[in-house]
Amino acid sequence: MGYVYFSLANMDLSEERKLVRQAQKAPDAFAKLYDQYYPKIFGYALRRTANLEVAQDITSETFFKALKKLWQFHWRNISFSSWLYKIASNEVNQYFRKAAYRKSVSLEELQEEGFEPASPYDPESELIEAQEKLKQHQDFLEIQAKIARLPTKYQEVIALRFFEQKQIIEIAEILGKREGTIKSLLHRALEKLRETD
Amino acid sequence: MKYEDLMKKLENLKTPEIELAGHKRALRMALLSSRYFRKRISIDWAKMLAPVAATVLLIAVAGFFAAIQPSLVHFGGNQIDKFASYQQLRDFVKGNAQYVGFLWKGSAPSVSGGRETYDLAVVTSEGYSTTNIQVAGVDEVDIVKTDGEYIYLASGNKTLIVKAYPPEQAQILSQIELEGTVIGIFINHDRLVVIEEKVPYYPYYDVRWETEEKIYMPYISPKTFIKVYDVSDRANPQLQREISANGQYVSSRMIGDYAYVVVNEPVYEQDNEVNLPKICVGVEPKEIPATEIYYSDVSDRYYMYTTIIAINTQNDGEEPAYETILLGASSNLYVSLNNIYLTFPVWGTGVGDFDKTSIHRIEINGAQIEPAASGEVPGMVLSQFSMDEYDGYFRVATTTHALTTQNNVYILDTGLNIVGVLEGLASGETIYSARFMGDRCYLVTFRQVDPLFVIDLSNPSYPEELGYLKITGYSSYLHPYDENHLIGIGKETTEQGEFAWYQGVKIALFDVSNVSQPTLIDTEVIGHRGTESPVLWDHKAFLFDKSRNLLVIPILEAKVDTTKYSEQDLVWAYGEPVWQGAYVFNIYLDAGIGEKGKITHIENIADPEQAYQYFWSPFVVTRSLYIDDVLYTISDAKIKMNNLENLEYINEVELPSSDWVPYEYLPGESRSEEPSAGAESGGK
Repeated sequence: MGYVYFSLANMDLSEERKLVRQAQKAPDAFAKLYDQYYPKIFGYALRRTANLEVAQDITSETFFKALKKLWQFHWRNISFSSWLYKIASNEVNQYFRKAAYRKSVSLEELQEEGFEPASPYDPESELIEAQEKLKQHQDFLEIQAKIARLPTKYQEVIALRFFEQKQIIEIAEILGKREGTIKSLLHRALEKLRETD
Repeated sequence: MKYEDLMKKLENLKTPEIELAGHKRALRMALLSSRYFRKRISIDWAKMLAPVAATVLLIAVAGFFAAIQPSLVHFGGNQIDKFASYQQLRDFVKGNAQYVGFLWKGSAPSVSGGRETYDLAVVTSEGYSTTNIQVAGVDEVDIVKTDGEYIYLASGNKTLIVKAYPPEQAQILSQIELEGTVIGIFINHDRLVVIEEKVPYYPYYDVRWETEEKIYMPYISPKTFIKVYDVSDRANPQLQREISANGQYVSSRMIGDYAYVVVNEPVYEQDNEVNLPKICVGVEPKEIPATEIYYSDVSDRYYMYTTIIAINTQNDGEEPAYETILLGASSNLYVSLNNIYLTFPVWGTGVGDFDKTSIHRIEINGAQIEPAASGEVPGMVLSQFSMDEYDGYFRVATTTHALTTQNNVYILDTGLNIVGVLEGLASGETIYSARFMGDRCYLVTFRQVDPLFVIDLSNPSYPEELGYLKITGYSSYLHPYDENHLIGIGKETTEQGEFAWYQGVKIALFDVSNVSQPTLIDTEVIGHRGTESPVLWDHKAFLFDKSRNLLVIPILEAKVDTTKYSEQDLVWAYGEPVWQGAYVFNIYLDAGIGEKGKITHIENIADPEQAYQYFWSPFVVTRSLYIDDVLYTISDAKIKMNNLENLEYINEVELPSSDWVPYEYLPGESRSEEPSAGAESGGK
């Protein structure tokens, strides 16, 4: 029967759970989840940090942690997407807490171990090109800079609500808090942000 | 700025949507070729073939067109044959891939020494337990073996020899370290057979998912090694012989002095040449010439060289024997005392042409290996337990997936011609477990409830359903208690409308003495939804001894915090893991199943090194065995010894840790790090 291609576009939760279970053993199932969520997680990390290089590292870290901990996902009654956001959020917070974000995996190190990307790409030129694109979002960068100065608990809710367009209930799931808590956090976050103006 | 304006500004903000395609691709490959997958690659040829997808697909596509051309090459007929030349092999592979046809039929030689009686492959109390096998006299490879005094165990890339009895003197005597992964071991008197597999490390998977930009990678075959050690001095094992073959390990058995190992190597084309299988006895690798390779007129998406190697474990002077057959990808294998049955699925188109299973019988007798017959049955075979040989007949249970699923039992003669048929059992359900015992076959099918079917096979031409019992849940492993009683291990389920939710692990004891009315003697359910046992997929984790009324199974126990859910949600709520270890039961026909006690290797559940990784922690108990009156439970971290009667602790041996490292907690994962909701709204 050969390869089974999954369509993730209209995949419901139970199907996704099934895929996650398969992903624990089957690289192809994991690859499919990765393809689906890479843009979202990278986008989130970028919009939280406004730094392409850091966003890359956070994305790498998030997916490696997800892969390592895939078996645990089974025990949590949250969607896979929320779970990934949760890991990514923790990574971003860690970045903001530490002066220098220390990553445990890097593609360079992997390359030294003998891993070679199939089609060599030039990270430098890709980054430069992306930097140019990022610079065009001046409005965003301005407000992002202010948000980044807030405590991480406020950054999280603002980013998830306004940049990632998440519903309150989803944010509650991602952050593991009650909806009421999210609402009050969001309110306080906006108050703080307004004060910085 | 006013609050409302800020909200509006944020809501209408154009945020950057930037993609780093190169990073995405590189990270993907890094993830897929990471050790998390490398360690746990199972026999799945679809995956293994990914690196050769381009070349194999070429063969497949060429074959597809060849199939509708009159110049189609095919050989076979009534004769079981070897290729006449490499050229013939090459033409055959290139011309027949994807072409589905079965022309090869066996000449029906008789099976030597047909047995009138059958042996339950159950341990008769010899003072120590042995691996739970399917067929008496046909040993199966495992990660733990004992001979009543020593325990031999495979862990990662190591094989350890441990003095186990008496328990007070228990200690590690020696350790064999290998480069590859130890699949399993056999022990035969003073000879230890270690099967090792080396899988090349390189990122395979990209070819598959990004077909639009195919990347060519040369195929590197995994290698299977069979190493025989002289362990007459247990403290100092000596490597006596080493045989290796290109390809992936499929399965193995030991009958008498002979170990039989089956290895698969894909057929692929590189630079317009078709590869030939390679074997290495001693130092010089040897290509097996086409003229020594058997073929059949079967076709699959891929062709495989299936090589069966026989080694005399006691006599180093005897050359290992081997035979290669060109087949599809073997999926299940059953071995009786005289025959190896290889099966592989033949995928149908689904339109009036449904999935079938191709079966190949290979006679074995010591160092003699001879392909004898081939045939096919409708439907798919679940596992080795779906097959059996008895009194000169091969019996097989399958599930067909047509419009609705249905289940069947076929009886074949030695030429693998179907002589008896029972079709259409439990329409809409699927076989979850099967067990053949002499003139009877027991089948468990499942969709929402679990019917246990009793099928009479005493007349091979007319297999007949005698009776069935419907209970909730299902069994995925059936074990004979005795000729009239069965133990089933599976899951309990709760029905909700058209759906059944899996609950805890269930042990059931069935009485089948009245074949038309099987009854349930007792059941025992362990834990809540989320509870697992390796016995559900690996019969070797199961320890049963009738004379001692003993049943031991490893369990990962999950419990649902009932305060967190409403009553109606409880059926789907997953429990949190609370315990892992061996559950010890008393099992009696009259008194039923009773918990005797539990043994864990995780002393401190709060210690992340022991318990955090419930599935991967080295403290997870995977096997149990007994010697005399001592129960041994085995994890990667230790062997623990308890009194079999009262389960009192006697002793333990710590095992050298593998390269396992406990993963750190996610920073900020604990929810207590942030102020609680009350503190939050209370204001600071």
